[in-house]
Amino acid sequence: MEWRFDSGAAIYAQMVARIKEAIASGALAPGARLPAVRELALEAGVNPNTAQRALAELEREGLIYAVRTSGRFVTEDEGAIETVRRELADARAEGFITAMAALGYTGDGLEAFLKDYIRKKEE
Amino acid sequence: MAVLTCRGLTKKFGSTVALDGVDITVEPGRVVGLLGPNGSGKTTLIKLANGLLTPGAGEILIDGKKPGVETKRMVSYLPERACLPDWMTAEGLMGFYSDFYADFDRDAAAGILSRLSIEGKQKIKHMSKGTREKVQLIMVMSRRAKLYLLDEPIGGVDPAARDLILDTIISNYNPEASVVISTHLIADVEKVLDDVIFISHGKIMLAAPADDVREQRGKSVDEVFREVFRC
Amino acid sequence: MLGKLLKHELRATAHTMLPIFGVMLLVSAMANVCARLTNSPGDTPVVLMIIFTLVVILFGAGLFAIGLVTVFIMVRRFRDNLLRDEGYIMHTLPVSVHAQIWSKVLVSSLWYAASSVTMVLSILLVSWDVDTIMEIGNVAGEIIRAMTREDHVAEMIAEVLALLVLASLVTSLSFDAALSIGHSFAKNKMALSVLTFVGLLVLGEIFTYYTLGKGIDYAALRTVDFIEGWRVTCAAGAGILLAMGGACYAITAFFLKRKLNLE
Repeated sequence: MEWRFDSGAAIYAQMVARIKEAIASGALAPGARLPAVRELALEAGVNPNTAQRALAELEREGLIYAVRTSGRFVTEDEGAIETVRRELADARAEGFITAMAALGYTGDGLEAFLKDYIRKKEE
Repeated sequence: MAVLTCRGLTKKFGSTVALDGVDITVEPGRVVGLLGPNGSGKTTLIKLANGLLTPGAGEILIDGKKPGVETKRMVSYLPERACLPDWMTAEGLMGFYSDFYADFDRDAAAGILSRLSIEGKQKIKHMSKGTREKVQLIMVMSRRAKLYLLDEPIGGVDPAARDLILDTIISNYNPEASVVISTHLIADVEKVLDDVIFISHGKIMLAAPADDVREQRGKSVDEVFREVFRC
Repeated sequence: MLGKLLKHELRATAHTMLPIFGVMLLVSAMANVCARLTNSPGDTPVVLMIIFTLVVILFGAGLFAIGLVTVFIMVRRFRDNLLRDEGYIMHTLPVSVHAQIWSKVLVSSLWYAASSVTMVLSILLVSWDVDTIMEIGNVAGEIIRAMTREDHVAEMIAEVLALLVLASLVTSLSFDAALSIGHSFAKNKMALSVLTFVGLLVLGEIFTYYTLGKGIDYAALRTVDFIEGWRVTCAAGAGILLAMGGACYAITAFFLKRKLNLE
């Protein structure tokens, strides 16, 4: 998995976001095993405590669960995964709308642009 | 029991005050960045922790003990300068560390040396500067110490060696031990830090978890550092 | 831990010292051969004569210098290992400063003794000749007979040897003390070390003058048995050496522990 960190946001929060993306996109399949804290930290180049904190947060949100001695796994709860997908989609939509508004595309104009663009892409 | 404690620690050299009433606590299982520009007192602090200097006032304790033979057993120190004896071989060096430090993991050290294709029989004087630095780092990190003191470990080091250093710190993580990294090159090292301490002119300006600093200021630790220490 | 330090110290110094001693012995043997060859007059070519002469000069210079070279190397060893970059490793080892000092003092005294032995062996080698060896054998026999026949000869030889060993230890310590003081300063470390050494020598002389010179009642000494007088003098000498050695030791320990100033 690709790990790139921005300045300005807590590293553990960025890790949580990155893993959520992977779960939402299916790159981390439901029930898939996550790397151990140490491996994860090494892979991402971060402090093990930070990696631990990220995993704890994901556990708290019910997106992963721990099985004693076996490790941590992605939830199989399709509902929870769908919720994350929706959350991420909403966030991206929000970003898109704000960006397009700055260019003057809003409301019906924005909808028309989008329909047109998608139609052109399919050709 | 905190791994490193400083209370009102003061050290003067003639009329220059290197450390001025420094208070620090490093709990076990933390990787701490001691961050400050050159001449801020970082090296003085590390030398005090090593027993290479004695405090002028205040105290410094390693695992609750004053620096001495007992604390030297549990502290693993990577000095800023290269200081390995020229005439020794890598093998000889491992023998030396095994002799003096009960916590030295010779197999681990030998493993890393061979992974990096460093010949056991090669003499240190025939090694390139980069190889020497790696060897020194491998010896220090192959000890199972309570406190690792790394003084400017990545200054002037090539990116591969830098990654080796950071990866070694991460993989050696032990909840009972702590690592203090003293540096002024923060960008490369900040992802690996739990806590950061900003030091300037011998005084502590900030001591907080790294992620808290990022969240509160909305910037990387490196950027905050540059702001705080802008002349 | 002292044992480990001693082992390490021996290893570190042996690979410099042994070749020096080896070369000295080799040159001595060569000088012996040259001396024999030049005995045949006239038919030796000029080139060979020059080589032989050079070898003999080398031998002479070596004999003269070997003690000085040993001192130089031992002093430099103390400085480089404890007062320069290597000090970062040495002073963070879990060993006491006392073990550090003893390891240096004992090993340098060993090499001083070894250089004396080498000098003796060199002389033997250069004069190696059946007749000379017989002579030396006879003299040695005489000495041993004297030791067993007359009282006190063995004792006196032992006391002289003991004083020599003590003097060697004290000399080492005086170098160490001077270096420790000189290097506690920020600049001109070597210059200050030399100055301190001279100062210590002067103090030592003054101390010896007032104790050995003025402190002993030589008139009273003349009235007792020779062996009594000898013993008193040796004891006085030993006492002075111990005092000076103790002072140098204390200085070195203090400066290494509290005034260490590595770059």
